[in-house]
Amino acid sequence: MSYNEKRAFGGLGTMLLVIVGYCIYAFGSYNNKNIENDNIKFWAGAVLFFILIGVIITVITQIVIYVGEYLILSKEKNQSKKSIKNKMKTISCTDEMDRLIELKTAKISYAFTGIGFVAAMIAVVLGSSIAVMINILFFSMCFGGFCEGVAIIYYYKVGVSHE
Amino acid sequence: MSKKLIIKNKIRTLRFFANEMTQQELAERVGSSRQTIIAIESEKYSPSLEMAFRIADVFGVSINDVFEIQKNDE
Repeated sequence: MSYNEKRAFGGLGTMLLVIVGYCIYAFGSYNNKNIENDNIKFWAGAVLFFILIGVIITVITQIVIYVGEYLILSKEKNQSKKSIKNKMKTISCTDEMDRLIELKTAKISYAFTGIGFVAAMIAVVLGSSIAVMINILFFSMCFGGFCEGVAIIYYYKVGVSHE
Repeated sequence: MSKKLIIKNKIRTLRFFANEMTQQELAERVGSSRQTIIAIESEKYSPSLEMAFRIADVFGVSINDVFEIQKNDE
């Protein structure tokens, strides 16, 4: 498995953790503490908190993957520090294929976020509470990010064309 | 009727004749990642014109000696 695939898997894992964590915390609190649907402060706070957690876990995961890759390379025989450094450079550099994959997969994420935004507005117009709107926005964003991760792995495995 | 272009390459053969150059070494000289070289070699990704020229330059051959086109009716 390549470095970029490992990073994509790391991103997927992080996204799953954030979704599961949010569901347990937000819906658990909602059921136990009788939080009102109109309590915008609670729902917005929960979303912000889990976005922050997601960012922190993502950074830690990327650092762990980078260090892991460095350790794997340094265990190979007859490796000078310079060659390890060069290999790490070629492993972690972003080239045209990475940029093409990034471009194609980002569209998926934007599409889900956009659809989520429209769905959230429709929900409000139809009389749903603010909690429903915030949850639709959050889940569409998470689902978009998840699909983006799956698409990244797919493109690295199967290949990507300019079409 | 549009024709789909399939770009074939001879990178593996050229690497063999260049003292069994590794994919890693080629990646370093071209300025890309090893994964991209693997994808190009296995025809999962068609490089840009710029990268195609860079690859040909590493082997000291023309771009036509590295890449060739196969036309398929779609």
